[in-house]
Amino acid sequence: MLSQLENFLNCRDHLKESLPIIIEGFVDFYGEERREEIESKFSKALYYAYRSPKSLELLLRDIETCVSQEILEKYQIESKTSLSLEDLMDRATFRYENILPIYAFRRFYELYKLGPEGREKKFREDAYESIKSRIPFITKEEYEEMVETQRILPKYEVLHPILKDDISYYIDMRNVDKKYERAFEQAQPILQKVNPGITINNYSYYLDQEELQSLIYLGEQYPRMVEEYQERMKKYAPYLAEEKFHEALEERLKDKYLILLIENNLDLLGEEDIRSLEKAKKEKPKYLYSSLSKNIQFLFGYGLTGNHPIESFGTAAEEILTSTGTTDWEKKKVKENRVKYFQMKGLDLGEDYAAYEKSEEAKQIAPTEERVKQFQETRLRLLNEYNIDFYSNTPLHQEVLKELEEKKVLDKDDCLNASLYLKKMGTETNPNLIQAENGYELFTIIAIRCYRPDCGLDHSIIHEMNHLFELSLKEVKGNHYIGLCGWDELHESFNQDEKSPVDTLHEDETKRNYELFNEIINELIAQDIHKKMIEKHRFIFNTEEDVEYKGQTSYEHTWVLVKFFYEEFKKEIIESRRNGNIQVIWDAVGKENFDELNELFHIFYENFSGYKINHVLTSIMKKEETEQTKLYYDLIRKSKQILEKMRRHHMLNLMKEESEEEKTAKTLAG
Amino acid sequence: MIQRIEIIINHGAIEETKALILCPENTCQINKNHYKVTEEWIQELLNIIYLWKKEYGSDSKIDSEEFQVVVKAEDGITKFHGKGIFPHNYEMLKELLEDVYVESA
Repeated sequence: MLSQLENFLNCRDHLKESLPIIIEGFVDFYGEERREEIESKFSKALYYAYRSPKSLELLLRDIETCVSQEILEKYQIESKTSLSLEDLMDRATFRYENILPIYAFRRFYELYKLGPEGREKKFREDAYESIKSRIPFITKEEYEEMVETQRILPKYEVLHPILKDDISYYIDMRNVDKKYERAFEQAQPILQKVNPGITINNYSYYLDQEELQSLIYLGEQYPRMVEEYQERMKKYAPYLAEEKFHEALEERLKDKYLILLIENNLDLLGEEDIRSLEKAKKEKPKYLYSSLSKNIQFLFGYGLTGNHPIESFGTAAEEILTSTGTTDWEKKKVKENRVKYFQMKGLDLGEDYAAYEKSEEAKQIAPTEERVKQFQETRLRLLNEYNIDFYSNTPLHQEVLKELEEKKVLDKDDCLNASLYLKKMGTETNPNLIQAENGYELFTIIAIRCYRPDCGLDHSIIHEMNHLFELSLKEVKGNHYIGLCGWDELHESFNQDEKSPVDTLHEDETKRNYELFNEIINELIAQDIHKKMIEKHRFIFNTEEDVEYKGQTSYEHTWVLVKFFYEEFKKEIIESRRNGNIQVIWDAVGKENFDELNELFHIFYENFSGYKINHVLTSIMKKEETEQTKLYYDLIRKSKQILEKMRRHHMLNLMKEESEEEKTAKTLAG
Repeated sequence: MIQRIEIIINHGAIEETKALILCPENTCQINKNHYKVTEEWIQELLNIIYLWKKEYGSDSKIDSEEFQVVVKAEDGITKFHGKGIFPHNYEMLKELLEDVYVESA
């Protein structure tokens, strides 16, 4: 598991290092005669296996868990305890070494060993050190005097109340026992697993028990475990530093864009609020949000993605109030937020919204629809800028940009911009162009999002690599080019001047004619390739235990439409999908039939994409008949009819070819 | 009065997060885990979703993430849905689900 996690951490290099086995996988499927073509196409690509800042965080937590478990397991065996790792760790790791149950036990046991006198002595020593760290001039004699008299010395009466409270705590010797009792309470969960009858008073009777002795051993070894953990984690220091970099970048940018959002909406604020903003900008406090006025906090939330009460005056909110179709809780929320807004603006007519509805002053204060729309547009514009600022400046992104610059791709609008990290899939194959000796050549950017080890990543890679294999350049005219990918034709223009503005908030939804059909067939081919790779133990990020070549995409819902077509015409399908050879499949099955099958996919996705397929499959399982189930079965029936027509076309073609061969043979013989 | 809130987040073909919040009892079940939640947590959830459109539409990508939130109240049912297209504060909902207080219910 740890080595798998490490591969994900180092995903960029790991994917590149795995190219040889991927090539072998493709050669196994397509044949040795295609090796040169496979190697050539795979060499003309930039591979960007990446992990988002969030997935880096999750990977590092998983690694901390793995390392902690490995260390604890070793000592668990040594100690001969029957307690499980879960008992000893309770899902915590040595990252926060003071929260593991075994640490809580150690703390209690150390205090137990001291005995009552020792505990009091330690308490006094620790108390004095603690007070001295805040009141450096206090002497030990003064502290002891306060303990004896149970009073704060007059000279310290002028101290801040919080400091005086601390002194009061540290001179009260009743806290020695309270501290000991608290330590026992924290250790109790693990002690009760040893023996449910253990209490703070009878603990010593159980000392001879083997299980408790094992626990004591583990408690004593605890510092060594922590040391070992810290030593092992040094290996991951660069990634932990990268995580810290992301955190600092995010904090800095959140503050920056919160200020920008406020500055773009100063008309909503009073003078005092604006002064608190100016003060915050000048002083740059550690926690910007809490240094701002209450009104700013209320109006702008935590920033760009927060809830903004001004939006309770917008069109959507108005519709909620006026529509008969909305429920009470929705109307109540709009009214609540509006009341809070009015109160923030200085108009307090109580909590009942009805009072504000009748108020002329409220009408004056309420923002116009225009103003709300302006707020929303500004927020979205700033959110886009924040996303670009953040994702473009992560170390991983900066590295890949350097690599891309060396390749000198012609289209500046490559996919390597901030929007990649926010796409819902983020795994894609993007053709681009480079200048070659004989003109233009395709150069492809493959972006692979590496999320978590259980994400079926190997299969995603094979799916994209097959797109790469099926890519070819048809023609270039001016600054437009046509690429072919399987049966799909890509009409692209390449922008050599500068990058177009990046939109991180919307994705391109346009569908090409054969896109859906093409993707499904690509997926089936990828499954065949991957299945062979798994049989030969060729793994990239996944392992034998977690690799899957099926069930990784919802393309398979449409398998019912193509399964027989794919199996029967596999040879022609594969041949037709490279280098503009679509005519091969058209000749084999008839273009009309091919297009008719293509059309079924459009109908399928219009009606059964997303949740809808689950609904219809559930109805089918329950043997219910609905409009949707009828349509589903109708599509399957039509796909079978089309397949029949394809078979007839294919037979006629074969007969024609045989007849042509006979004629040719006769002519040659004659 | 709200009786229950159901949240389903479908991460492509395979992974699914299902959350069921029972409002009178202040409990939340997320997949197989049970949690207690506060009234404030529930109100924060409602504050996140109350201005959402009912339908955000579906993008053409097959494996896009899809969400469905259903609020069942005494006076009716409110449904929110989107596939590949999300409200601007959608991540706040997911963060809130991660933020439940962990305790066996």
